[in-house]
Amino acid sequence: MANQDASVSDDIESHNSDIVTVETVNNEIADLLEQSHTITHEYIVGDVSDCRTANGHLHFDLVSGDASIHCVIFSVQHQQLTATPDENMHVAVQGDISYYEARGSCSIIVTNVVHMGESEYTQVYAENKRLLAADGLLADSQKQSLPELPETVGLVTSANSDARIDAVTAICNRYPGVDINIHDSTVQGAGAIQELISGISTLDSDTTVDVIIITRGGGADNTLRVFNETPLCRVIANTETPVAVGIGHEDDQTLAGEVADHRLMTPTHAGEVVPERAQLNSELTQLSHDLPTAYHTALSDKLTTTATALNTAYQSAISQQLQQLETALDHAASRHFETQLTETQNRLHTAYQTLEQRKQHEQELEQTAEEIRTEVTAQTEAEMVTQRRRYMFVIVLLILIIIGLVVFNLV
Amino acid sequence: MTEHTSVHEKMNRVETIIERLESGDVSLEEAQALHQEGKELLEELSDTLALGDSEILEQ
Repeated sequence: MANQDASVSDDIESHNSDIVTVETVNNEIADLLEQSHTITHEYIVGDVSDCRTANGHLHFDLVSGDASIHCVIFSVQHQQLTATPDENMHVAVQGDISYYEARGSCSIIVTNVVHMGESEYTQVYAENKRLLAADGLLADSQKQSLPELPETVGLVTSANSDARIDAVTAICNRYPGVDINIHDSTVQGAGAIQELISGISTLDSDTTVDVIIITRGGGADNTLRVFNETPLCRVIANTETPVAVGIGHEDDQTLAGEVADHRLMTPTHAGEVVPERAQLNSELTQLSHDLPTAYHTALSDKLTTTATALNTAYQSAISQQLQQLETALDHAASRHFETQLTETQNRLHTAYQTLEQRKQHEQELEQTAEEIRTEVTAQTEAEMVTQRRRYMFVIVLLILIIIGLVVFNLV
Repeated sequence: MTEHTSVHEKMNRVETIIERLESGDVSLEEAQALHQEGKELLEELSDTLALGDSEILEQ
């Protein structure tokens, strides 16, 4: 192949004497424009699009139909303008056409701007939005929920674009394992709307596709206009499969994004249609750890509770039995003491009676002794009296005898 | 819980089961039934989340 190219190159150089570089052509175009007196107009009318500021200079595209031209207002000129160009303005600009040789691009160096009202496309956009709203296609109630865990994602985007790479990367990064069914489509210009609708319809009829993503990267506003077309919006709104739309940059608003079930800010946000697998796995791992732990804790608590209840019941039973035994023991002791007391009382009573009897007997003995003593005393006294009388009688007798004897003697 | 119950619903159910088991106010029979249900849900979730290798189809 390389040899073939070299052969063709040699052939061109040998058979053609008029061969120039890009630089030469661009310089020739620049000279042609500077010398031309036919491309001079008082005003150029169009819609302002893609307004942006760079290094203090205001850049925008002046758009009319499918045609556009780059315009720039230098910062020194900016302060002197009666109107400042802004998105969706319809304006007439004055200025000089300039050709930038290095890039081969043509621009208008704007010196004056006249505001002429809303841009033509702003009115088209508003009408399209009104029609879609009238059919209820912008209502939140019309929107479907995205599947929680799609197994297959359908992707409609342009082949070999950064948007496609970003979307696929974002999906695979968030949930490795998801299948992606890609339908290549032109995303701007002629034929884009038919290819987009075809791609969406094909994926919608595929029952394995769980969610459809329509995406493209950023670009000039007029290149995104296909996504404001009502036929495309109606197809997006009427799919049975949930649709997510991510067009351009974060600040790019399209009607396709509004009728879609979910709006993605950029192609990189395509990953939002799938969950974050790492987080789900982490949660699952945590639950897998917590469940047996909680189960064992519940069992342990239940066993502890049961053991405590068993112990309490055992203690209660033992305590009850002890109390019954204590009561029985008290009763037995009481009965024993009562019996002993009764016996003691009986013995005491018997002893007392015996004592009383003895006492009475002793008294009787004492009385008998006293009587005997009295009787003996009386007898003794009587005997003593008798004895004394006898002695007296003897004495008297003796005295008489003595007297008799004396008398006798005397006599 | 059916086969079509969402992943998050199943995860929420497992969390509820864990909270119920941790509450301490559960009988042995109920704890066993809850544990079995939780294990089955975790197996289902594990099967659901394991999609295998990614495949990119061009049309």
